[in-house]
Amino acid sequence: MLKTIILTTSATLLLLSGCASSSGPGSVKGVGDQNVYQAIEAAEKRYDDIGEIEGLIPWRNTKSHIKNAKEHVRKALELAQEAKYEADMAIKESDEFDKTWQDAVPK
Amino acid sequence: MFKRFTKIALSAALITTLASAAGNDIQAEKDRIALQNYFIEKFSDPLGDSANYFPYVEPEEIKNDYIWSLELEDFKDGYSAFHKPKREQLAQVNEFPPYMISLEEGEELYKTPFANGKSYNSCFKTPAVKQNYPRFDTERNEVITLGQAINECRTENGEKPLRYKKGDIAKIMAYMAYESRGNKIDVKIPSAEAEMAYERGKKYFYKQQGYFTLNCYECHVDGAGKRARAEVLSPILGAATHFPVYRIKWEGLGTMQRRLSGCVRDTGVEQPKAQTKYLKELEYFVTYMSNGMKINAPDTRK
Repeated sequence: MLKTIILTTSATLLLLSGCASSSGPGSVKGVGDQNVYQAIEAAEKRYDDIGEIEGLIPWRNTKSHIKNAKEHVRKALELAQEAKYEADMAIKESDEFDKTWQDAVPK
Repeated sequence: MFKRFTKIALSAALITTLASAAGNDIQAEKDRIALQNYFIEKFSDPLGDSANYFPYVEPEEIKNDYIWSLELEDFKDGYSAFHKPKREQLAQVNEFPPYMISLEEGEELYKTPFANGKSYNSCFKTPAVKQNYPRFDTERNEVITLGQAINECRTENGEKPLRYKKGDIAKIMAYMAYESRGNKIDVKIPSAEAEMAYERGKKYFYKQQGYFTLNCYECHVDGAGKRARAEVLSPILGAATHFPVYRIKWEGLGTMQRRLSGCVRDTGVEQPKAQTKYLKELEYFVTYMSNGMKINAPDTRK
Protein backbone atom coordinates (compact mmCIF):
# COMPACT_ATOMS: atom_id res chain seq x y z
CA MET A 1 0.00 0.00 0.00
CA LEU A 2 2.74 2.41 1.05
CA LYS A 3 4.74 1.37 -2.01
CA THR A 4 1.76 2.24 -4.25
CA ILE A 5 1.41 5.60 -2.54
CA ILE A 6 5.08 6.38 -2.99
CA LEU A 7 5.10 5.29 -6.65
CA THR A 8 1.98 7.29 -7.45
CA THR A 9 3.32 10.28 -5.61
CA SER A 10 6.66 10.11 -7.37
CA ALA A 11 4.96 9.96 -10.75
CA THR A 12 2.77 12.93 -9.89
CA LEU A 13 5.65 14.99 -8.61
CA LEU A 14 7.46 14.34 -11.86
CA LEU A 15 4.45 15.59 -13.76
CA LEU A 16 4.00 18.60 -11.50
CA SER A 17 7.60 19.60 -11.93
CA GLY A 18 7.29 19.42 -15.69
CA CYS A 19 9.84 16.66 -16.06
CA ALA A 20 7.61 14.03 -17.68
CA SER A 21 8.88 12.69 -20.96
CA SER A 22 6.83 13.32 -24.08
CA SER A 23 8.51 10.60 -26.08
CA GLY A 24 6.19 7.69 -25.12
CA PRO A 25 3.81 6.22 -27.66
CA GLY A 26 0.74 7.59 -25.86
CA SER A 27 2.11 11.08 -25.31
CA VAL A 28 0.82 14.22 -26.94
CA LYS A 29 3.29 16.53 -28.57
CA GLY A 30 4.07 19.48 -26.32
CA VAL A 31 2.37 18.14 -23.19
CA GLY A 32 5.61 16.96 -21.62
CA ASP A 33 7.02 20.47 -21.72
CA GLN A 34 4.30 21.83 -19.43
CA ASN A 35 3.40 21.21 -15.85
CA VAL A 36 0.22 19.31 -15.16
CA TYR A 37 -1.90 22.41 -14.50
CA GLN A 38 -0.76 24.07 -17.72
CA ALA A 39 -1.45 20.86 -19.61
CA ILE A 40 -5.01 20.65 -18.33
CA GLU A 41 -5.58 24.34 -18.97
CA ALA A 42 -4.29 23.96 -22.55
CA ALA A 43 -6.58 21.00 -23.14
CA GLU A 44 -9.60 22.90 -21.77
CA LYS A 45 -8.81 25.92 -23.94
CA ARG A 46 -8.49 23.76 -27.03
CA TYR A 47 -11.71 22.01 -26.14
CA ASP A 48 -13.42 25.39 -25.91
CA ASP A 49 -11.96 26.32 -29.30
CA ILE A 50 -13.94 23.48 -30.85
CA GLY A 51 -17.13 25.09 -29.67
CA GLU A 52 -16.21 28.25 -31.57
CA ILE A 53 -16.04 26.37 -34.85
CA GLU A 54 -19.41 25.94 -36.42
CA GLY A 55 -20.53 22.38 -36.95
CA LEU A 56 -17.50 20.82 -35.24
CA ILE A 57 -18.17 18.21 -32.56
CA PRO A 58 -15.37 17.24 -30.10
CA TRP A 59 -14.03 13.69 -30.10
CA ARG A 60 -15.87 11.44 -27.75
CA ASN A 61 -13.31 11.21 -24.93
CA THR A 62 -11.86 14.72 -24.78
CA LYS A 63 -14.15 16.06 -22.07
CA SER A 64 -13.89 12.95 -19.90
CA HIS A 65 -10.08 12.99 -20.24
CA ILE A 66 -10.02 16.54 -18.85
CA LYS A 67 -12.34 15.55 -16.02
CA ASN A 68 -10.23 12.46 -15.25
CA ALA A 69 -7.01 14.47 -15.36
CA LYS A 70 -8.36 16.88 -12.72
CA GLU A 71 -9.52 13.97 -10.57
CA HIS A 72 -6.13 12.25 -10.83
CA VAL A 73 -4.35 15.43 -9.81
CA ARG A 74 -6.61 15.79 -6.80
CA LYS A 75 -6.01 12.16 -5.82
CA ALA A 76 -2.27 12.49 -6.36
CA LEU A 77 -2.14 15.54 -4.11
CA GLU A 78 -4.08 13.66 -1.43
CA LEU A 79 -1.69 10.72 -1.67
CA ALA A 80 1.34 13.01 -1.54
CA GLN A 81 -0.06 14.67 1.58
CA GLU A 82 -0.76 11.26 3.14
CA ALA A 83 2.76 10.05 2.32
CA LYS A 84 4.25 13.22 3.82
CA TYR A 85 2.12 12.74 6.94
CA GLU A 86 3.26 9.11 7.32
CA ALA A 87 6.92 10.05 6.88
CA ASP A 88 6.53 12.87 9.42
CA MET A 89 4.88 10.50 11.91
CA ALA A 90 7.55 7.82 11.46
CA ILE A 91 10.26 10.34 12.35
CA LYS A 92 8.26 11.91 15.20
CA GLU A 93 7.43 8.51 16.76
CA SER A 94 10.96 7.25 16.29
CA ASP A 95 12.22 10.20 18.34
CA GLU A 96 9.67 9.40 21.07
CA PHE A 97 10.36 5.65 21.11
CA ASP A 98 14.10 6.28 21.25
CA LYS A 99 13.47 7.53 24.79
CA THR A 100 11.31 4.61 25.92
CA TRP A 101 12.37 1.34 24.23
CA GLN A 102 14.74 0.43 27.06
CA ASP A 103 11.75 0.17 29.41
CA ALA A 104 10.63 -3.02 27.64
CA VAL A 105 13.90 -4.93 28.14
CA PRO A 106 13.48 -7.60 30.86
CA LYS A 107 15.74 -6.73 33.76
CA MET B 1 9.63 -23.71 45.35
CA PHE B 2 10.47 -24.63 41.79
CA LYS B 3 10.42 -20.98 40.81
CA ARG B 4 12.81 -20.08 43.60
CA PHE B 5 15.13 -22.92 42.68
CA THR B 6 15.07 -21.89 39.02
CA LYS B 7 15.83 -18.29 39.91
CA ILE B 8 18.73 -19.33 42.10
CA ALA B 9 20.05 -21.58 39.33
CA LEU B 10 19.77 -18.81 36.76
CA SER B 11 21.37 -16.28 39.09
CA ALA B 12 24.25 -18.68 39.64
CA ALA B 13 24.52 -19.14 35.89
CA LEU B 14 24.55 -15.37 35.49
CA ILE B 15 27.40 -14.98 38.01
CA THR B 16 29.36 -17.76 36.31
CA THR B 17 28.83 -16.43 32.81
CA LEU B 18 29.55 -12.84 33.79
CA ALA B 19 32.76 -13.95 35.42
CA SER B 20 33.82 -15.70 32.24
CA ALA B 21 32.57 -12.99 29.87
CA ALA B 22 35.32 -11.44 27.82
CA GLY B 23 34.09 -7.92 28.40
CA ASN B 24 32.17 -7.14 25.25
CA ASP B 25 29.33 -9.50 26.13
CA ILE B 26 28.68 -8.52 29.75
CA GLN B 27 25.49 -6.59 28.95
CA ALA B 28 24.42 -9.22 26.43
CA GLU B 29 24.78 -11.96 29.04
CA LYS B 30 22.70 -9.93 31.49
CA ASP B 31 20.03 -9.51 28.82
CA ARG B 32 20.06 -13.21 27.92
CA ILE B 33 19.78 -14.45 31.49
CA ALA B 34 17.07 -11.89 32.28
CA LEU B 35 15.06 -12.96 29.23
CA GLN B 36 15.44 -16.67 29.96
CA ASN B 37 14.50 -16.00 33.58
CA TYR B 38 11.44 -14.07 32.44
CA PHE B 39 10.16 -16.95 30.30
CA ILE B 40 10.80 -19.65 32.86
CA GLU B 41 9.01 -17.62 35.52
CA LYS B 42 6.17 -16.77 33.16
CA PHE B 43 5.37 -20.41 32.48
CA SER B 44 6.21 -21.81 35.92
CA ASP B 45 2.69 -21.13 37.19
CA PRO B 46 0.63 -19.60 34.40
CA LEU B 47 -2.64 -19.92 36.29
CA GLY B 48 -1.35 -18.35 39.50
CA ASP B 49 0.37 -15.54 37.63
CA SER B 50 -2.32 -15.16 34.99
CA ALA B 51 -3.16 -11.63 36.13
CA ASN B 52 0.43 -10.62 35.39
CA TYR B 53 1.18 -12.64 32.29
CA PHE B 54 -2.09 -13.75 30.68
CA PRO B 55 -4.72 -11.20 31.67
CA TYR B 56 -6.97 -11.91 28.67
CA VAL B 57 -6.71 -15.70 28.54
CA GLU B 58 -9.55 -17.66 30.12
CA PRO B 59 -8.39 -19.46 33.33
CA GLU B 60 -10.11 -22.60 32.02
CA GLU B 61 -7.94 -22.52 28.90
CA ILE B 62 -4.78 -22.04 30.95
CA LYS B 63 -5.78 -24.95 33.16
CA ASN B 64 -6.60 -27.31 30.31
CA ASP B 65 -4.31 -26.29 27.48
CA TYR B 66 -1.14 -24.85 29.00
CA ILE B 67 1.88 -26.88 29.99
CA TRP B 68 3.44 -25.75 33.26
CA SER B 69 6.91 -25.65 34.74
CA LEU B 70 8.89 -25.44 31.54
CA GLU B 71 12.62 -25.78 31.42
CA LEU B 72 14.89 -23.75 29.20
CA GLU B 73 15.29 -26.47 26.57
CA ASP B 74 11.51 -26.79 26.16
CA PHE B 75 11.37 -23.42 24.42
CA LYS B 76 13.05 -24.87 21.34
CA ASP B 77 9.57 -25.93 20.24
CA GLY B 78 8.13 -22.41 20.03
CA TYR B 79 4.52 -22.14 21.14
CA SER B 80 4.30 -25.95 21.18
CA ALA B 81 6.45 -25.77 24.31
CA PHE B 82 3.60 -24.50 26.44
CA HIS B 83 0.42 -25.18 24.49
CA LYS B 84 -0.85 -28.76 24.68
CA PRO B 85 -2.98 -28.79 21.49
CA LYS B 86 -0.13 -27.23 19.50
CA ARG B 87 2.35 -29.72 20.93
CA GLU B 88 0.11 -32.62 19.90
CA GLN B 89 -0.31 -31.15 16.41
CA LEU B 90 3.44 -30.70 16.03
CA ALA B 91 4.09 -34.28 17.12
CA GLN B 92 1.52 -35.56 14.60
CA VAL B 93 2.91 -33.47 11.73
CA ASN B 94 6.45 -34.56 12.52
CA GLU B 95 5.57 -38.25 12.36
CA PHE B 96 6.26 -37.73 8.66
CA PRO B 97 8.13 -34.44 8.68
CA PRO B 98 7.20 -32.33 5.68
CA TYR B 99 10.75 -31.00 5.45
CA MET B 100 12.34 -34.42 4.83
CA ILE B 101 12.43 -34.21 1.02
CA SER B 102 13.95 -30.72 1.15
CA LEU B 103 16.44 -31.94 3.75
CA GLU B 104 17.62 -34.73 1.43
CA GLU B 105 17.85 -32.25 -1.45
CA GLY B 106 19.85 -29.97 0.83
CA GLU B 107 22.33 -32.73 1.59
CA GLU B 108 22.78 -33.41 -2.11
CA LEU B 109 23.21 -29.70 -2.87
CA TYR B 110 25.76 -29.38 -0.07
CA LYS B 111 27.78 -32.36 -1.23
CA THR B 112 27.68 -31.58 -4.96
CA PRO B 113 31.07 -30.11 -5.96
CA PHE B 114 31.25 -26.67 -7.59
CA ALA B 115 32.41 -26.37 -11.21
CA ASN B 116 35.96 -25.74 -9.96
CA GLY B 117 35.95 -29.04 -8.05
CA LYS B 118 35.73 -27.48 -4.60
CA SER B 119 32.68 -27.74 -2.36
CA TYR B 120 31.00 -26.12 0.62
CA ASN B 121 33.30 -28.15 2.82
CA SER B 122 36.19 -26.15 1.36
CA CYS B 123 34.69 -23.13 3.14
CA PHE B 124 33.07 -24.64 6.24
CA LYS B 125 35.17 -27.77 6.92
CA THR B 126 32.02 -29.40 8.30
CA PRO B 127 28.30 -28.76 7.74
CA ALA B 128 27.71 -28.74 11.51
CA VAL B 129 28.37 -25.03 12.05
CA LYS B 130 24.92 -23.54 12.61
CA GLN B 131 25.61 -22.99 16.31
CA ASN B 132 28.25 -20.37 15.46
CA TYR B 133 26.06 -18.22 13.18
CA PRO B 134 25.45 -15.35 12.88
CA ARG B 135 29.05 -14.54 13.65
CA PHE B 136 30.70 -11.14 13.83
CA ASP B 137 33.60 -10.70 11.44
CA THR B 138 36.09 -8.49 13.27
CA GLU B 139 38.00 -7.64 10.10
CA ARG B 140 34.99 -6.56 8.07
CA ASN B 141 33.20 -5.31 11.17
CA GLU B 142 29.88 -6.78 10.17
CA VAL B 143 27.52 -9.57 11.12
CA ILE B 144 27.79 -12.58 8.82
CA THR B 145 24.76 -14.84 8.69
CA LEU B 146 24.92 -18.48 7.64
CA GLY B 147 23.04 -17.67 4.43
CA GLN B 148 25.53 -14.94 3.62
CA ALA B 149 28.45 -17.28 4.35
CA ILE B 150 26.95 -19.89 1.99
CA ASN B 151 26.60 -17.35 -0.79
CA GLU B 152 30.09 -15.95 -0.22
CA CYS B 153 31.41 -19.49 -0.45
CA ARG B 154 29.61 -19.87 -3.77
CA THR B 155 30.83 -16.61 -5.29
CA GLU B 156 34.39 -17.20 -4.11
CA ASN B 157 34.24 -20.45 -6.07
CA GLY B 158 32.76 -18.97 -9.22
CA GLU B 159 29.14 -19.92 -8.56
CA LYS B 160 26.13 -17.62 -8.67
CA PRO B 161 24.67 -16.59 -5.28
CA LEU B 162 21.33 -18.08 -4.25
CA ARG B 163 18.19 -16.20 -3.27
CA TYR B 164 18.24 -15.69 0.48
CA LYS B 165 14.77 -16.44 1.78
CA LYS B 166 13.76 -19.83 0.38
CA GLY B 167 14.58 -22.49 -2.15
CA ASP B 168 18.03 -24.04 -2.41
CA ILE B 169 19.63 -21.86 0.26
CA ALA B 170 17.00 -22.92 2.80
CA LYS B 171 17.54 -26.57 1.84
CA ILE B 172 21.31 -26.30 2.28
CA MET B 173 20.83 -24.50 5.59
CA ALA B 174 18.37 -27.19 6.68
CA TYR B 175 20.97 -29.87 6.01
CA MET B 176 23.64 -27.91 7.87
CA ALA B 177 21.24 -27.35 10.77
CA TYR B 178 20.35 -31.04 10.81
CA GLU B 179 24.02 -31.91 11.05
CA SER B 180 24.30 -29.35 13.88
CA ARG B 181 21.42 -30.84 15.88
CA GLY B 182 22.26 -31.17 19.54
CA ASN B 183 24.99 -28.55 19.39
CA LYS B 184 24.37 -25.58 21.66
CA ILE B 185 24.01 -22.15 20.09
CA ASP B 186 27.21 -20.29 20.77
CA VAL B 187 27.07 -16.83 19.21
CA LYS B 188 29.99 -14.64 20.26
CA ILE B 189 30.43 -10.90 20.73
CA PRO B 190 34.17 -10.62 20.10
CA SER B 191 34.74 -6.85 19.91
CA ALA B 192 33.38 -3.43 20.79
CA GLU B 193 31.99 -3.12 17.24
CA ALA B 194 30.23 -6.46 17.69
CA GLU B 195 28.74 -5.19 20.92
CA MET B 196 27.43 -2.15 19.07
CA ALA B 197 25.88 -4.41 16.42
CA TYR B 198 24.28 -6.46 19.21
CA GLU B 199 22.94 -3.30 20.86
CA ARG B 200 21.47 -2.08 17.58
CA GLY B 201 19.80 -5.46 17.06
CA LYS B 202 18.43 -5.25 20.59
CA LYS B 203 17.07 -1.79 19.90
CA TYR B 204 15.39 -2.99 16.68
CA PHE B 205 13.75 -5.73 18.74
CA TYR B 206 12.43 -3.54 21.52
CA LYS B 207 11.73 -0.23 19.78
CA GLN B 208 8.19 0.38 18.62
CA GLN B 209 7.73 1.40 15.01
CA GLY B 210 5.44 1.46 12.03
CA TYR B 211 1.79 2.04 11.35
CA PHE B 212 0.80 -0.16 14.29
CA THR B 213 3.51 1.19 16.64
CA LEU B 214 4.52 -2.40 17.41
CA ASN B 215 7.80 -3.89 18.48
CA CYS B 216 8.95 -7.53 18.45
CA TYR B 217 8.69 -7.58 22.27
CA GLU B 218 4.95 -6.92 22.16
CA CYS B 219 4.20 -10.25 20.48
CA HIS B 220 7.19 -12.47 21.24
CA VAL B 221 8.04 -11.62 24.86
CA ASP B 222 5.07 -10.02 26.57
CA GLY B 223 2.65 -11.54 24.05
CA ALA B 224 4.13 -15.05 24.02
CA GLY B 225 1.39 -17.38 25.18
CA LYS B 226 -1.34 -14.86 24.47
CA ARG B 227 -3.32 -14.80 21.27
CA ALA B 228 -3.43 -12.67 18.16
CA ARG B 229 -6.91 -13.58 16.98
CA ALA B 230 -6.90 -17.41 16.91
CA GLU B 231 -3.12 -17.76 16.85
CA VAL B 232 -1.03 -18.44 19.93
CA LEU B 233 2.03 -16.19 19.84
CA SER B 234 5.44 -17.82 20.00
CA PRO B 235 8.28 -16.89 22.37
CA ILE B 236 11.47 -15.33 21.06
CA LEU B 237 13.41 -17.62 23.36
CA GLY B 238 14.37 -20.67 21.32
CA ALA B 239 13.34 -19.11 18.01
CA ALA B 240 16.85 -19.46 16.63
CA THR B 241 17.12 -23.16 17.40
CA HIS B 242 14.62 -24.40 14.82
CA PHE B 243 15.28 -22.35 11.67
CA PRO B 244 15.09 -22.96 8.80
CA VAL B 245 11.55 -24.22 9.26
CA TYR B 246 9.00 -25.82 7.02
CA ARG B 247 6.01 -23.55 7.35
CA ILE B 248 2.63 -24.92 6.28
CA LYS B 249 1.73 -21.38 5.16
CA TRP B 250 4.81 -21.24 2.93
CA GLU B 251 4.41 -24.80 1.67
CA GLY B 252 8.15 -25.11 1.96
CA LEU B 253 11.28 -24.29 3.88
CA GLY B 254 12.15 -20.72 4.74
CA THR B 255 15.09 -19.07 6.43
CA MET B 256 15.07 -16.99 9.57
CA GLN B 257 15.74 -13.91 7.44
CA ARG B 258 12.49 -14.64 5.61
CA ARG B 259 10.54 -14.94 8.85
CA LEU B 260 12.10 -11.85 10.42
CA SER B 261 11.45 -9.87 7.26
CA GLY B 262 7.76 -10.83 7.31
CA CYS B 263 7.47 -10.19 11.02
CA VAL B 264 8.98 -6.71 10.72
CA ARG B 265 6.59 -5.96 7.85
CA ASP B 266 3.69 -6.92 10.10
CA THR B 267 4.52 -4.02 12.41
CA GLY B 268 3.33 -1.77 9.58
CA VAL B 269 6.58 -0.79 7.89
CA GLU B 270 8.05 -1.52 4.47
CA GLN B 271 9.31 -5.09 4.30
CA PRO B 272 13.10 -5.06 4.76
CA LYS B 273 15.10 -7.10 2.28
CA ALA B 274 16.98 -10.18 3.45
CA GLN B 275 20.60 -9.70 4.54
CA THR B 276 20.27 -5.97 5.07
CA LYS B 277 22.31 -4.63 7.99
CA TYR B 278 19.05 -4.18 9.91
CA LEU B 279 17.91 -7.79 9.56
CA LYS B 280 21.37 -9.25 10.12
CA GLU B 281 21.80 -7.36 13.39
CA LEU B 282 18.28 -8.26 14.46
CA GLU B 283 19.09 -11.93 13.80
CA TYR B 284 22.35 -11.51 15.73
CA PHE B 285 20.44 -10.30 18.81
CA VAL B 286 17.63 -12.84 18.49
CA THR B 287 20.07 -15.73 18.13
CA TYR B 288 22.21 -14.54 21.02
CA MET B 289 19.14 -14.71 23.27
CA SER B 290 19.01 -18.47 22.57
CA ASN B 291 22.68 -19.02 23.37
CA GLY B 292 23.15 -22.28 25.27
CA MET B 293 20.08 -23.93 23.76
CA LYS B 294 20.37 -27.00 21.57
CA ILE B 295 19.70 -26.79 17.85
CA ASN B 296 16.70 -28.83 16.71
CA ALA B 297 16.33 -27.47 13.17
CA PRO B 298 14.81 -28.02 10.74
CA ASP B 299 11.35 -28.14 12.23
CA THR B 300 7.75 -27.58 11.23
CA ARG B 301 5.57 -24.59 11.99
CA LYS B 302 2.13 -23.44 11.03
